[in-house]
Amino acid sequence: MLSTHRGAEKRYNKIRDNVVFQLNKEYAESGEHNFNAKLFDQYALDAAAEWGYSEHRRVDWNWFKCYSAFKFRYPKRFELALWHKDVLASLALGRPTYNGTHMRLDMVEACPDKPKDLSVIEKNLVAFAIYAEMLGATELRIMNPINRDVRSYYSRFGLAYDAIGDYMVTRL
Amino acid sequence: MKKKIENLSRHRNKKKPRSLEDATKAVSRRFRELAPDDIEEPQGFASGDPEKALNDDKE
Repeated sequence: MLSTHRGAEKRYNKIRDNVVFQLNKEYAESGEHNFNAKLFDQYALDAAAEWGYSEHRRVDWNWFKCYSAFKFRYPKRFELALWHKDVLASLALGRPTYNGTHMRLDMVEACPDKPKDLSVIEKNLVAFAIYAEMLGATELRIMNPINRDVRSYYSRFGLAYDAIGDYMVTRL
Repeated sequence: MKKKIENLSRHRNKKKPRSLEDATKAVSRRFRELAPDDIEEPQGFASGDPEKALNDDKE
């Protein structure tokens, strides 16, 4: 790892930590004590590996592999492991564009067996939008929504679909 | 000395940086208000493409 890469990793890790700290403070203040935001760690990746056994899972992503490659390439990334009552509720990974004006949410997956009334997307959007703002980005893009249902769900949060780039977008 | 001329509406629209705390409150409120309460989150919700996420070097 180059020293410049290591320096960026350290700098951006501080921002990631601050955002996660603030998110947990916000959950506590709004009475959502069961939620806990964290950065990725071995516990989260092990929990995500268990999702592979669920019959409700729609994708066959290997989060451990994806995260290792993503982390190596993008020190400015943002990552969120969202826990609910000590159960991993979702994982999400993204990064700012090279010019820093847009924040991408590249991959997000909810626990396939989470309770139906437990929503995680709102919290992921909030987390990525806050990180985007800390970096000075003016747009949040949810990359490659996998189907019409997913696009339709995002649109309820005010995101519009860009068919050329295949992403949902909102201004911050 | 030349004076820099800036478009007035662009100047007005420039975002004022917010503190992390203020940004968290504002962003949380914004998405909370928009969150749909009449439809459930799709089961097995996933969005993205690992291949593209790792190889999209255009931007």
